[in-house]
Amino acid sequence: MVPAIIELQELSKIYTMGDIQVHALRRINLCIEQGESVAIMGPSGSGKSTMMNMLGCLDRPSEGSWLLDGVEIGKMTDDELAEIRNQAIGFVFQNFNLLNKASALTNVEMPLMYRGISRSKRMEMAKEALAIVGLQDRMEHTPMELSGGQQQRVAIARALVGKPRIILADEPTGNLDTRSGLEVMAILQELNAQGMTLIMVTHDNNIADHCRRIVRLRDGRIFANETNSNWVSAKVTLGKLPLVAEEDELTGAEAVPTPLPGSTDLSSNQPNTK
Amino acid sequence: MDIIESLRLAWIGIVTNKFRSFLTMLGMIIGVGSVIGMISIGEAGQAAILEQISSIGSGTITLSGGRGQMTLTLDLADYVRELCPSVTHMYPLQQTRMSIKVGSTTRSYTIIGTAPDYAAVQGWSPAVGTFINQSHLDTRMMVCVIGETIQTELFGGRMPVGETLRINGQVFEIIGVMERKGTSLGQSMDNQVFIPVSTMLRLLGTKNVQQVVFLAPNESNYLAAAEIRLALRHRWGPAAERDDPFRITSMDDLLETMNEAIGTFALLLAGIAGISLLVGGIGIMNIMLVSVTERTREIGIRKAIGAKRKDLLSQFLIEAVVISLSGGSIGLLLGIALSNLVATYAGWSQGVSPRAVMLAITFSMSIGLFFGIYPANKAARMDPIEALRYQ
Repeated sequence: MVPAIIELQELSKIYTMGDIQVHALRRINLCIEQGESVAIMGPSGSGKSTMMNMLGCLDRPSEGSWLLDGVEIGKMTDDELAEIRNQAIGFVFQNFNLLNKASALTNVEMPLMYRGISRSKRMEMAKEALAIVGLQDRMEHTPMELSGGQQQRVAIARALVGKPRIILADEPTGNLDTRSGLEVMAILQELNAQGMTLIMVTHDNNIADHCRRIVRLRDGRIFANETNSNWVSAKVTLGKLPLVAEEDELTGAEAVPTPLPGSTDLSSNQPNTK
Repeated sequence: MDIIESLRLAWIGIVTNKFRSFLTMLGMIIGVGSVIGMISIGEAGQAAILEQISSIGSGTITLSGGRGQMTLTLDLADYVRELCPSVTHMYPLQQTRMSIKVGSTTRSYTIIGTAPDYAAVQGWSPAVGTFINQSHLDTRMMVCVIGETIQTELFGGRMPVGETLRINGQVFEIIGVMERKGTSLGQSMDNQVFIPVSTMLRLLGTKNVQQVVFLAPNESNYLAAAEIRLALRHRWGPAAERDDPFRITSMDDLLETMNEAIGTFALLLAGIAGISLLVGGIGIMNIMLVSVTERTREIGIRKAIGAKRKDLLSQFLIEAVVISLSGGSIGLLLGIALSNLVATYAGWSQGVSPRAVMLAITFSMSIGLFFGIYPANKAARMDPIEALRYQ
């Protein structure tokens, strides 16, 4: 049995807005093990974002306990949380959240800077990370000179450069066309296959199907937490897409209209088994 | 994250917004430039004026005034000198403008009636010929010593010693030409004519002298002045004590008063310049606040990927300090240029005040720190969730 990397016990988050108390999360119990891939789903207002902030150590629970590798997160100071975010977590956001005036390389090396790694070492690691996402030829480009899919790949490189144990992705394909989205998902699945824990927040069933487990939230509670029987490999789906607009990545935004197949076979890929 | 990284980040932050950074710096440039300029000009001016005053005679005490029967005469001056052991030199000064005629040319010059000690005290003697001596004085001889300008203007530069000129119609023999002295307190010293004071008093038909100057080099000005006052009282008794008709001015007092006045003026100038420095600082705070707000998302991103409070604090603080220091450095060069320009133009020996340079650098750095701390703190304390949501 792999040890639990994330353990939430009776976790609640209550926001006070004036006189009204909003229960964003109510008595959540959740266990995620190292190497899992989990999609957190739910309609808006279900507590998805709060959950994301909580797992990303951007916020602290109001009640209950949040253990990362057995260490209580809830009582940490801001700076201790910053260190956890820096060391253990890699973020991928829907809107990429890159520094638009900085090159891809600068964006990717940034987390390492806050870790106190020397500049030459940082550059080396950042170049490696960019190579992993296939952007070794675009390192000096600024985000504005890259397509959406490329920007998200820069963001993934930034997330993985510090070799975190958890990749936390918030609607990573939300702003991307189908092909770019699938490419991003394929990279995330690959990282997961190599052992990084992947947690993804989405409201899109097709995207959630790239995870092995799906946790469904409603009104701040978990109402379903089950293994995903419809798991798909993004790589396989990508292979089945007609080869349209392949040549132009920079203007890749003119989407491939092909809808994602509902489900595909699982056999051709090496899934990361629990 | 070390200081080099912070400096690099600050530098990137500045060059990404070149024009805005320059505008922000402009406040510091003008502020520091004017502070250095004002202080330097003030100090150099002060030094120049004091130098001129002290060249007139440090350690001298001037007696002037007189009223009713208590008048200032040559006899009185001799009397005071006899009674004051600390006085080593004494000369009367009688000044007026008179017309001087050489050949068919007539011009008006300042005529100074004085005594031999004048040359000794002023450390100024004739380049050619002799100065007035005691026998000239005693016998009220019609002799004169002229300034270099007069030599040029009335004699076309040729050596006039032994020739004569007419002062108010009276014939005077020229016995010397003074060394060139230049200007003192804005007045040319070289267009004066010196004659024995006794001769001058007879010419004017009076016994009263305008001023008598005493030199007491070995005694403090204060004590020497007291001695002179005592001698005056001795001369007239209680009457002089009741209403002192004389004015006793010591050059050291004057020097001190001048020094204070010029110092105050310089301080005022520096104060005004300091206000512009302050305004520059507020400009930095303003821009840094705008910059922090504008870069809210950047701050959120940095926080999300692990920047601690001190990382963001130092990033923005160093950015503010770098802006103010760069502005300060440019201002420094500007101030140096300005004060050198003024010093050259005015002919002062002293240019930039090193004190002002130190002051400006310290100030521009502290202003960056002081006005940068609030915006930087604002950035450091931002909630990452809120910051990431900011559009």
